[in-house]
Amino acid sequence: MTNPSTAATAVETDEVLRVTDLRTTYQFRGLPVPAVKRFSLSVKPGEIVGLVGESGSGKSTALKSILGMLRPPAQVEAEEIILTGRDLRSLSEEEMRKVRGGEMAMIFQDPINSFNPSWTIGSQFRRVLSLHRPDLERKEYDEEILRLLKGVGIDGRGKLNSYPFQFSQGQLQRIMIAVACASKELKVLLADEPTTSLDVTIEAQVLELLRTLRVERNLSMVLVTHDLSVVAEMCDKVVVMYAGQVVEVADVFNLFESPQHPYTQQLLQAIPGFPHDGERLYAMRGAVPGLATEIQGCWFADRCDSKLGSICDTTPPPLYPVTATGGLAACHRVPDPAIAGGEGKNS
Amino acid sequence: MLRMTVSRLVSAVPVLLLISIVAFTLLRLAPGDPALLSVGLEAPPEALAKARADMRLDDPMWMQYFTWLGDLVRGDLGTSYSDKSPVTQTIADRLPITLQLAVMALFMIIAVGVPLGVISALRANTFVDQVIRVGSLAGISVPNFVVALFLVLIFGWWFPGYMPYQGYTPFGENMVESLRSTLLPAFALAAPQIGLVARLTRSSMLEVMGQEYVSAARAMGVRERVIIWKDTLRNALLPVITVLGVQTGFLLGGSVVVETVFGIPGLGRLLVESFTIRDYPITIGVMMFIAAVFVFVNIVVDLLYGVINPRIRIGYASGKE
Repeated sequence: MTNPSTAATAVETDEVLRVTDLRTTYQFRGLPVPAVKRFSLSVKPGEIVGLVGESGSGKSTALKSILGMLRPPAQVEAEEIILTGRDLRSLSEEEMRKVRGGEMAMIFQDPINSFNPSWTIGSQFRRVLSLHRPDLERKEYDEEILRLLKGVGIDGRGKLNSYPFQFSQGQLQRIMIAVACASKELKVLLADEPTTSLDVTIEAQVLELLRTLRVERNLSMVLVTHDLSVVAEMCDKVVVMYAGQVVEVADVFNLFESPQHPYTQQLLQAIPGFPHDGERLYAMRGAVPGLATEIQGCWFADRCDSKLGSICDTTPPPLYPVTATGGLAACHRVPDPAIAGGEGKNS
Repeated sequence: MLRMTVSRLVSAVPVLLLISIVAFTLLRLAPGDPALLSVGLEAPPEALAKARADMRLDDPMWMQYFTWLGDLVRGDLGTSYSDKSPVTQTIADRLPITLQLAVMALFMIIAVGVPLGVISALRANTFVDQVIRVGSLAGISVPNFVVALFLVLIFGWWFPGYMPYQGYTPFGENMVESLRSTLLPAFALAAPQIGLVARLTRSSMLEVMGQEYVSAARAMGVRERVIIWKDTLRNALLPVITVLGVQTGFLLGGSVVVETVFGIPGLGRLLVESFTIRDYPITIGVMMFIAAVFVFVNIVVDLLYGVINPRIRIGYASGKE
């Protein structure tokens, strides 16, 4: 649906996807539960942005919100969700449906569950082609499927009539990637922990495949993961989320070299060193606060090892620009790192 | 598929044998003497002795069982004590009536229960959903003879003349009247199952809608309507079909009570009548017939399951189970 001119605009603005101030609220027993409270994201063409954070920090919800997949009573608000120059919030449901799997697609954590167990792989693939490949005749579908499967390293000949359970997890994730990339218009691939359920060798292969796709098709990706080593290996830029909010944005080098937010620092500290020195491993105390909790100040204050003082309990820190690295961090220490222990100066 | 069919059929044999032993024994252990009932209390002892000998009641029970079983294997269920007609013929005469009742009830269960469940799931936790859930629960909780009695009360006493509430018009005689005459009994039979199926469909739909492949389909831009009817419903109906299979057996059993209340001369009524006069061949014949239908329907459901669920079908074809 997108004509080349809009794609060109996106390249000019140098952003393929921009999300500003996204808020997603679920309903639980009639009460609103904010799952994502403050989320912004900017993705350049061909860029891989990592999205990290503990379970329940709202990573998957943020992705699903961007793709417009949440149904009422879940509520999604945002200042803007701009994909290749178009604000997705202004699109009708029908137009949005064409964006999903067209310009933006998503792959999931558990490949075996991403396919309908009672349909053959071929029929599920053909359905996607019928939705997003108007350029193809029906009889050309199978040929195209084989070509796409070959692109992800799977020889699909004679296997199109097989059912999902007849493939391995790694194969299925490859097939899923092929399905997600079926559209020629695809600009952004949202990957929700795509390798979490795979063993390490298969994980390496799938990550390699994603990297190849990025190069070959200039595809942008948002990669949700728990695994900081995947981040280090794959991503250009990292967004760290905590309790539904972005707490730090940095390019991947700076994130590991000089993490600004205490949460990021403590996450990195929790990675066991090798060879291990025999010391007790560092573990972050406490747990992510419940989504329905009311917190006045910084959401991380209770678990923070470098808390400043009462300002952390009373004033929520905005995302401050970090001058040294060009990133962002939501911590009161950022404006003036020298004030450790001081109070009230920035409030 | 053939392999699966054969293996299921073979496994049905021991089940039916066991049922026949239990049913036969229980029937003989129940108090009451068919010979005495047939000749009457005033009859001379010789007549009673002759009747006993005719009915082979003097043989030891195991011998009676094997005689009966031997006949059964040859397709002979014996003759009725009361009117001397072959049991198979009597069952064949009554079967269409009960079948008409059961098919109608099954149709109501599917046509009402499944859509109610789907609506309930799509409108989960709204007012509509609450109404359907409470209604279903009420349906499940009220036994079908209560429903039957209420229907008789409503259409026989409060609003007479709208619906036939007693007796049966044969299908061949007047098709419309025949269907009308079984409408109330079929509903009485179906009511609890409608509730059960609605609730099951609802929970099953909700479970499938939470599956990742539904999210995945949505993420690929599949139309919401298609997601609900093609992706979700087909998988959600698997457990519903299993339960429907079991319920079909209960429909035949339940017809015993409902046919009695509505005065429908079907198999259920036959069972009650024959048992009242201890007409052993008929009673055991009907019981075995119902049991066989029950087992057979479950086999069909198993096979259907295979058609719907490729995992089972292909698992069998490649020799692993």
